[in-house]
Amino acid sequence: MTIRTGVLFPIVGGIIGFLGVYLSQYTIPESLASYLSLAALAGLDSICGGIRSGVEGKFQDNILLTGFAINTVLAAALAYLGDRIGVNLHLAAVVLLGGRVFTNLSLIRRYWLSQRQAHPLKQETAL
Amino acid sequence: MSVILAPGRHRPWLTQITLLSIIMGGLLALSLKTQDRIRRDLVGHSSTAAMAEAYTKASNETQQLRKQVAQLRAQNQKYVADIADEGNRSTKAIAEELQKVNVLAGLTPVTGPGVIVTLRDSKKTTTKPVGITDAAWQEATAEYLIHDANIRDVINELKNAGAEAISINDQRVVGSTAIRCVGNNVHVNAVPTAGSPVIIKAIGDPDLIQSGLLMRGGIKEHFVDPEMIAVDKAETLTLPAFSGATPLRFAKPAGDVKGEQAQRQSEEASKAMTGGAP
Repeated sequence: MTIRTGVLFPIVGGIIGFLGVYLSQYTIPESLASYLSLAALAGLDSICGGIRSGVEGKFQDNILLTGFAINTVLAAALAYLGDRIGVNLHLAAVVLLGGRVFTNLSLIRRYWLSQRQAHPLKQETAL
Repeated sequence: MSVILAPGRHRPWLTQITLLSIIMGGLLALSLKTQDRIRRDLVGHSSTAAMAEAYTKASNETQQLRKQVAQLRAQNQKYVADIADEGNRSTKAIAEELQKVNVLAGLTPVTGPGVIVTLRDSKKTTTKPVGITDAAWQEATAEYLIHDANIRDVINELKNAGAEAISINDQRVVGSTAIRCVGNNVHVNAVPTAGSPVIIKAIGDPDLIQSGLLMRGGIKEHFVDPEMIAVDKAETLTLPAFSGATPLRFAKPAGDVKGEQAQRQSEEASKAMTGGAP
């Protein structure tokens, strides 16, 4: 088991979840739509962060779980608060979370490349 | 957990991430679906591009439906003609009457002699003097342009001179026709057509119509530049059928008693006018 095959599991999981909801008839009211988008972005951020800490060997399960649960809710709640007091906190959340997703993805990529260079043979046998 | 899912055995964090990925995928899908629905619902409030797209789509659809209407009408006319040819005496009489009424109502293409009236914006141009506002300049030059009122005047004059069928820019004029300027276009039967030149074709006695339009004190003198209106006789003109819908939602044929009453009132009114003001 290497990062190369292992990373397929979250991707497949994401696709399963996506299709499961996409093929259902359910949508949410318009007024909540933008908060839901933010929550989804926060979820993406948590997962990227989780994978990164996983490949770096620093993974702690309680951090990921609480991070996912609280970040999604918090992103939506902050945006809602921002709307109520007339400050566009959507932007703040999008910039921060989006930036973190990019950072984490690039770190994962680096880790994966360095691993390949370091143990090319191990890669082959694992596949 | 790690017993159920294979990745868990070696990398326990993958199991959790996979589970959370499923949730996140669901969130993303829900968000996407909701946004899609909003985009569909709010065409009226969305960007100009989306509105333009919707407009193009709708006008294409309208065009196709109009074509369909024309086709179905032509088919209908054919059936009526067939009945007029082959039916027994009473159906024949009805079919012939129907054909005549259709011609009058503008639902059949018609052909015959007549005139072509061309209205165009004046070619006289002057430069805008200095020290005059745009609005004032627009007002000053307004009568050098063709307006819907000019077209309506001409149509009125044509009808008065006995025109039996009229079209404006190949849109047939019928009882319900409205003629309106919208921006640079003239909308006839709610179809946008060219604003200049406006080509009006009328079937009727060419000499009578021409002299009616060109007589001294007539409509030609309403134009500041006489070159804005041209009247040409034509040997044969063919006018298209009215392509719009002809729904009747409010008007119904009146019953015998009410109908007779209205008829009597109308006769009395015309009698009073001729008696009172000869």
